[in-house]
Amino acid sequence: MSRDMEDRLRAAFDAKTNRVTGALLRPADPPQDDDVPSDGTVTSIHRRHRWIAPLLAAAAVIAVAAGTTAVVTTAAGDHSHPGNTQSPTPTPTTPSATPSPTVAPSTTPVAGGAPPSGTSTGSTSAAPPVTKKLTVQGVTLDVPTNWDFAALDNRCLTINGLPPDPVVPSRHCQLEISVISASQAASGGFNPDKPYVIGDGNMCGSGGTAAQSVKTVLATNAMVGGQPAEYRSFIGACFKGTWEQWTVPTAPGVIITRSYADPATEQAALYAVTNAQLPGPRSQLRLSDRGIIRSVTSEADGARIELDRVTRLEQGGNSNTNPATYSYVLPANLQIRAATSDLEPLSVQQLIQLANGQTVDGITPPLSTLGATLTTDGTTVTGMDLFVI
Amino acid sequence: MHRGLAVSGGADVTQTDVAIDVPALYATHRLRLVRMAILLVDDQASAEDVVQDAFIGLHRNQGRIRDPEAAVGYLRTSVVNHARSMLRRRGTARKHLRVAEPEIAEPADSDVLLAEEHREVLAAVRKLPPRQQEVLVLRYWSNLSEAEIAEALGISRGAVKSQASRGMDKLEQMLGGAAR
Repeated sequence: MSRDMEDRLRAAFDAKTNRVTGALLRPADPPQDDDVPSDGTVTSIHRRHRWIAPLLAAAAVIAVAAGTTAVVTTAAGDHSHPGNTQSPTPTPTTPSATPSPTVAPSTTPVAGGAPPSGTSTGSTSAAPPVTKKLTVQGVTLDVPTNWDFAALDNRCLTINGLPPDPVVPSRHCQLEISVISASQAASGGFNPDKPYVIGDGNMCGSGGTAAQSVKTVLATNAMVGGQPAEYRSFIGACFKGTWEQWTVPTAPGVIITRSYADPATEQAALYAVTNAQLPGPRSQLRLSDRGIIRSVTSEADGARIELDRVTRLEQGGNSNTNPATYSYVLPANLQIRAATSDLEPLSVQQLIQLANGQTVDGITPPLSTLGATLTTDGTTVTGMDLFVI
Repeated sequence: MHRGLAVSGGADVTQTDVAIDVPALYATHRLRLVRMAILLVDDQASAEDVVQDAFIGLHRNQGRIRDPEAAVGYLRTSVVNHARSMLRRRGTARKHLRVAEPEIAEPADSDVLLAEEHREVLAAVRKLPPRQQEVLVLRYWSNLSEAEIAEALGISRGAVKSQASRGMDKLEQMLGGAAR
């Protein structure tokens, strides 16, 4: 048998299995005594309770939708909900430029271990056996007692404070936390679809085979510390296993990265992420969005746009598996960057004309073929780019 | 210390006289076992059921298993056996009920994000006899030795070697000319 075939087989197996992370497993408990019938017949408790996971997921979606639609009344139909996810009167705060981690005593010991019943996509997560609280940049996490800030890097949590890997600093990090202010997001670019979220950094370089190997393998919504968040996982040739990432897109933006989804620490990591306490108050709007334009309607102070969230995939293209639609008001004076025939930006008024079926500066309807990337400062839309889906 | 194994009673206990801690094993090994099972039954829901059944079996028999290392081996063997039963039930259902797809088939787009090369290889593996699939998964994904595979499958080391060789030969035939 050839070495080449062995390598192909290993690569295919890894590709198939790396897509499955603990976040994707349905909540389940380890067997209990009452799961084993007295006659010894083996019955899968998982199979018996298969309806629970979809029910929980549906409940979570309903809860999120209810929470958001209650805040802002939109001009569009009942499918949409606003780009904001929290308080209608936000006061975004800027985190300290020099984070000062703090350590608090342990809480919530659970004897005998706990099942990995948590999911990163919004369900509750069982407590690991013993936890302590670590705070970095205003984000407080319940983590195992042997996790600590990595030496010389107070955003990276490692087991026993192991220093970051000298070659790939994030490699030893069980979790890495970044908090981004609205102004930092505006100047650096904020993109929850990217492995690095901020700026143009690429985990496998900017070109060549390694860079092209990075792929988005999962894009879902999640809950982090009770806040709507976006979950992404990536695979690539220059890092081990699966790269997981949770982004809370309202300001201050919170990015939690798990650069190697080690199964051994899956439960603890998910528990920490799900139960994180986030800095607040949260901003009204998401710091960025990307989606298909579903409607544009004129308003007194500009226009309201409904964006059907799409995910930009690292391997190229867009995925529209996210059911969320977000609503934003475009200020009347917003300049919309687009590939127009005269190379001039579009005005909001021209966007409304486009929505009404008119060809504008070489851009033709229908609206459903157009996508937009929005940037906000947390309260107002500050930038918009138009692209063809 | 038992590497990668969760045992109750601390890290330095000896293997004998240590009751296995099923919840801890569940927390530590469930994900990896589900991943292995996915390669055997091809869809995540079935894989999760197979693994859950394996843990139920372990729970039922924990009084008879005193060695935590053996518990992991037990789970691995159990997953393979339950996966085989699952495939058999699936085949029976198709034959008698004319069900075109398993009840809990993976979403149609589940492999969309896999590279074409990987899809071809996985499709070819699925055409192999179950035993050859099991040997290849345990060897090239679980990275088990021939002896460990033999123990997990309850066959001789020679049989492991021959099944692996035949499986790889068939893959070479099916994929040898496939574009990379």
